[in-house]
Amino acid sequence: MTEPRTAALTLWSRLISGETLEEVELRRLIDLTQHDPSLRKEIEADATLHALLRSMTDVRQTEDQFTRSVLERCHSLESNVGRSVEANRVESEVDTVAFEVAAADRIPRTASVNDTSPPLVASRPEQRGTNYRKRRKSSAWSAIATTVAVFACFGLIAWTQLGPLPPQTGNESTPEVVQGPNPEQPQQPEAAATNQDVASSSVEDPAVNNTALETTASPDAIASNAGDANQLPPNAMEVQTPAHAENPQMIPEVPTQAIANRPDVKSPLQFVTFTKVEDPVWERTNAIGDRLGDEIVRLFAGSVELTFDQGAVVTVDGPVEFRPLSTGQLELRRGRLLASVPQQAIGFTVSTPTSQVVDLGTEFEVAVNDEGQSDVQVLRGEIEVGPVIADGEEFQKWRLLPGKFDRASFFARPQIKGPTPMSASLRGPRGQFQGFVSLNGQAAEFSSPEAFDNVRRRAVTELARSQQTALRQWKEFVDSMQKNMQGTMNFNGQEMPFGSLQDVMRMQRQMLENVQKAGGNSGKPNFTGSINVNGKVITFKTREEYEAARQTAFGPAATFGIGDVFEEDRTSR
Amino acid sequence: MTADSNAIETERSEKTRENTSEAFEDILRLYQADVRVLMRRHFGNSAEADEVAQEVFVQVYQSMAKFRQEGSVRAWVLAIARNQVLLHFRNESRRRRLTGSAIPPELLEVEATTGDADPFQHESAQIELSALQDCLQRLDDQPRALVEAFYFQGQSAESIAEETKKNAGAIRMMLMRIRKQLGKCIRGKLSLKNGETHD
Repeated sequence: MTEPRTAALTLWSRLISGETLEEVELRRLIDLTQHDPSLRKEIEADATLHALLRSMTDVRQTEDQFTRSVLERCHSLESNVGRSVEANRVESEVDTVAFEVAAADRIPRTASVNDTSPPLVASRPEQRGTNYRKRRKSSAWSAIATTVAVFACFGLIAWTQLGPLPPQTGNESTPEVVQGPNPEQPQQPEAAATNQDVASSSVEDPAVNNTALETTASPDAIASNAGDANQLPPNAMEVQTPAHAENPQMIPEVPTQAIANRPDVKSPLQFVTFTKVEDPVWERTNAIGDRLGDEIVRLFAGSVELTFDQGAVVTVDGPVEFRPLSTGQLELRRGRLLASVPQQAIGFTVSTPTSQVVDLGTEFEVAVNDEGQSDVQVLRGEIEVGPVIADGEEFQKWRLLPGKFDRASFFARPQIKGPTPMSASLRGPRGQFQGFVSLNGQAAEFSSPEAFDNVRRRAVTELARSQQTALRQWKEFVDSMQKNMQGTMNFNGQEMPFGSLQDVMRMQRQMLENVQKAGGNSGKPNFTGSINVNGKVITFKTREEYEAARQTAFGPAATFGIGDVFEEDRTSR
Repeated sequence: MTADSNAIETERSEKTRENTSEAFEDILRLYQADVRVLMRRHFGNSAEADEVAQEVFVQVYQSMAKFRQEGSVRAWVLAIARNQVLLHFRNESRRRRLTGSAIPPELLEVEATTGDADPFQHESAQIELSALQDCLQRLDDQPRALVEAFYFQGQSAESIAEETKKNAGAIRMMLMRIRKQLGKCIRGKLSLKNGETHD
């Protein structure tokens, strides 16, 4: 017990003295402190003392300078603030008016009590200290006075107008209702804007964060947040996460009304019926017979069967996240589904972050893991599978048949989508809490909100770091491939020049076709020729030599498998 | 809305704005030390700490209108400050740019919800600083010299170690022990003062 403690304190003493710790050391220190509350407390106290000691000289000496810089910054903002004040004047309910009046009323009064002290005049610290104490006392009195006034106002308003208050009422206290976005309003218009906006809206009123969240996050907000998660960079996602993670789940409102307001909705129509709902743990209240449209469904546990109007039957087990797009289309974001597609629904499509599965009359299973990798397996019938590709890209599609090639995997592409951790928490009206964090296939469940928040934050930090590394490595790899892919390949007398990674890919696909043709004619394809890459010539006479040459010449790019596909060709015959 | 009422609205918002900026100056003067001390807990570099502290007050300024009656102004300002710290650490690219040592929020709690975040949370930094000044006077010569060298003259633990023919690790641990002692002293002083006010 004492040993890790000493280790932690040694690391801490280095960190606090201004040394930069190694990543591993910092991790270890964090781990150690997280398992020892008393150690944590000691570190907290030490940090405070350290900060105070550092503040002894510079904070005291630069007080006026600091104040001046802040005021300058704020004054330059002033015109903007005025504009937003105008823009945000909106209808408010009686009780929100009371809140706002409370806020607006309080501030001017505090100010007027302190009118006597001239701003920006340097005074000796000791004097200043006592001034502050006096000020604080008078602020307390003004607070009491304000409270009384506010209650009086509130009573008056409530009594005279028992209904929604029009914005331009002649009431004395309404002019103060000219503040920023109202935290009590169910959905702030700018909430869906940029990261920065999301971030700052969570900061603007931290004192009421908890209550605000409970009223602002609707089931719909959860859905659209989750929907965007894949496209967002990880830190953006993290900033957003609290909005849905902290959301009390069992909200009785039926989400249909909210769907109509969602911008990314294709159609408000409902085309799916819940035909089985077993022990679901989710942020919904659906039961058998309920209808579903284009919306995101997250099932943490339990099992649900959906029947699409066209006939396809899809069974999912939690944890899973999916979105029915139309009666013939479903997007699987994470998790596993089993689809059973009758004759009339042929063409039913499942899309995942990395693949497209088109049904050709069958039963199949699709699974998407946390990295976005999707695994497809056909159980009966036939399906066509291919990766998700961007415009202008080419890639092959395959048909999967039971007993032949019946499985396919599609892996996450580092430069577009990386693993994004899934996190969610459930809260009940009696304080029940369940948190889930899932990253790289490792899922954790929490019963304490603190532990959950802690792990969630770390998971995301880790992710951002590892993703950056992955991105860099990938870029280096691609760069090196691009630079070193100059040459020609001679294959069975056919000369093929190449100048880029794409060329190599295309060439190999071309060769596959040739080999298949040749194989079809003679029964034994030829493997003679040479590869000339960056001035280096590698010749081959057999298939084995050819494979080795390919590996040497193209490195990882050779993994795109003529060999593998050739196997497929053989098996399917 | 008529042109008349528009004019009235504009005048009223002008007025609110004036009042708000006066109130803001007040808040700024009252709580700047608290925020700047808090930032020095997390950012090893004072310039960086003050930069974040400035951003905090810009935030405060922008959300003045939304401050609500319940809770103290100080708690509200500090909550904004803690959120700002979190945001800074969340922003990975910013984190990389941080100079000197920064202490991540995984290690030092910044959430407004925990009482541990600020061991002297009921006192303002101004009062704590005064108490600390007194407590420093009571230190023995040797520890006081060490504090002065490290904190006031900006010497590194290594250079102090070289001068005193000790190793840097020992110096760092000594500093930590001194801080603990000072913390005890401050807490004693502050609780004594509180006792007095009660009587």
